[in-house]
Amino acid sequence: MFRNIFQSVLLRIEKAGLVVFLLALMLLLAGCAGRDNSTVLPVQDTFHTGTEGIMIGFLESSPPSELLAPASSGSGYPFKVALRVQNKGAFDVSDGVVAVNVEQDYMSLDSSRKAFSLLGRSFATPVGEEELVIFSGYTRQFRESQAESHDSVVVASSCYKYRTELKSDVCIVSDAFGVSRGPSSCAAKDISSSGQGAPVAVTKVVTKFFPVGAGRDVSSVKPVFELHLKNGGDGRVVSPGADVSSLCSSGPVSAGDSGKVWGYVSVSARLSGARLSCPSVPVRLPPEGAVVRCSLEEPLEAGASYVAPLIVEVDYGYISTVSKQVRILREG
Amino acid sequence: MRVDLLFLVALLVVLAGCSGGSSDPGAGGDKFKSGTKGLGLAFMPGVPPDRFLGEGRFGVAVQVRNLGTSDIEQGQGTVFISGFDPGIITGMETSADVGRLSGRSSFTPEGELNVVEFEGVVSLQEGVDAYRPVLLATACYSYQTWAVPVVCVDSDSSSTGQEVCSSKDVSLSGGQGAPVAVTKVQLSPSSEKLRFVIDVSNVGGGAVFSEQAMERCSPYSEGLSFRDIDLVRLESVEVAGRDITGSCKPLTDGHIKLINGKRSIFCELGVEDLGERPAFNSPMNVRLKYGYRDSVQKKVELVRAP
Repeated sequence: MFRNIFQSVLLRIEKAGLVVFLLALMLLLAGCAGRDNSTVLPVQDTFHTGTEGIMIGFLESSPPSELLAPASSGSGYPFKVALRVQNKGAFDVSDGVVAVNVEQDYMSLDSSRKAFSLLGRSFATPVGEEELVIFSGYTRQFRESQAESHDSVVVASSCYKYRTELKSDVCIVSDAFGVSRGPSSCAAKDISSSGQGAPVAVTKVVTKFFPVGAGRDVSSVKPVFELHLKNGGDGRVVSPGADVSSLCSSGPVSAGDSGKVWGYVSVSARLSGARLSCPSVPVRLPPEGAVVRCSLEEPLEAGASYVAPLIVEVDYGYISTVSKQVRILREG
Repeated sequence: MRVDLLFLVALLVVLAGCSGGSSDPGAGGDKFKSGTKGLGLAFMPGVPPDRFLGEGRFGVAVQVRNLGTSDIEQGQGTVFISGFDPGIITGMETSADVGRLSGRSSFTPEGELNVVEFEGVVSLQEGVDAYRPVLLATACYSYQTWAVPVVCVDSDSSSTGQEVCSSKDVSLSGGQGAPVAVTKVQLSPSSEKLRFVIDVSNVGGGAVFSEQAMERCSPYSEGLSFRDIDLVRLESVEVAGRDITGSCKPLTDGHIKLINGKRSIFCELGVEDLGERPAFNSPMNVRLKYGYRDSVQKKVELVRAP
């Protein structure tokens, strides 16, 4: 009798166990269902990286590698120069100019300069805007009577104003002497970067704190930031005050108020929203780089260390150039 | 059919009855004099959240629990909040009293708990899309250690007769319910004196300092100097009913100066004070008093709303 009872109990337990197992499985599967991540905001800013700004490139066959020129006077043969212009940096360009130069003795263009505006990389335009700029031209009468062909080059330049923007957190440490034994939520360290989405890069920021006060009674500290700048692109830096439209012409370049043209940048910076004291005039940026110092006018009161946002802005003009070989064939 | 159901119910009742019941809390007292912590700190989950979107009111709540055995009275403990830019998180008070917190006992087996709150307003500056501070909650408080190792007091160490106990070292493991602990007492008897070598260690993981420097514990102050840290005041040492505090050395103005977090002091009891009596076990009361600092961190991300 007890054996029958026991067997009956076991059977009930088995059935109950199966039901429990199925319920648990359903709950597990429900929990593992994919969550809707559409409300999760992107965290990292991946756009302020690299050293590219405006990139230009010829389309494959515009111009073609060979052009035909008439042997005698008369209308020449048309051709097109098509350029893909892309903003691969993080700054929006609103007054850029693309200019094309050809050998005037052999080719002529309807227009040698065109303006462009392109948004840089951002959450809204992750790859940066691009457009096609097309120039029309025609070949001229072939001058050399004996030659069958002439090798020439088509040069395209992009000229624009740009800005490098570095946003980073720095540790504000008021114990300038390092003698206090206190807890700290951060440690002062240099910031290194390979680029901020612009051809001129802030490669390093060195933070230094200088005590302000009498004797051992240090009541405040003055932070000083050493900004290491370098031209990481393949073009030339021009003063931000220079006239962009004249940069891409064959005429003299207007330097603006500063009087300095080639290789100059303007630097400004803010710490926790307060403007730092940086050089008030454009500073020269040689090929090997430059160091610029910015400091906080009002010293910070000594207190607990904390993380503060630092924003560095470098303004400049930039010219980059590409070229393409073309062979001009004499008709006939 | 009903019989098997009844059998099943009976089986379940028996199993429930056999499951581990609550253990006898015991007589209390001694079992709480263990552990190496004083105040335990923790940010309350979600306050603040790991990620704060937009601007507006920003709250921080810190749980403070007395994990040791010494009571903390009102005004003896303070929690500080630091690590943030006051220009971004504005209007936040940076310190709060922890209040009165009883230590662990039979009445409060886990130690008394309090939650201190701080509130500010987040205002991201122009151009700042995200700000990632590391919030630091720091507790500064006065605490005591009371160690009671049992030592063998033998006035005639040369005696060869059968004794109740023999002079041997006493190791104390697990702490005394405080962040500074007596870890060992070594006995070194001689014909005239009983010498005790008492090892003191900072076992709590935080920083110990002289109580007199409590004001400089705050992260907003000039900070503790080398002269403030690693100082523990020797309140008293008693053995066999006698106060031998005066014999203890080396002390600096009544304080033990820890080196690399530990130090040994030497105290003596004159044999003549004991009279002629056989060896006996006696509790040695060692009381220490000090200031202590501990901290916890939390990374937070403040993001500008799109």
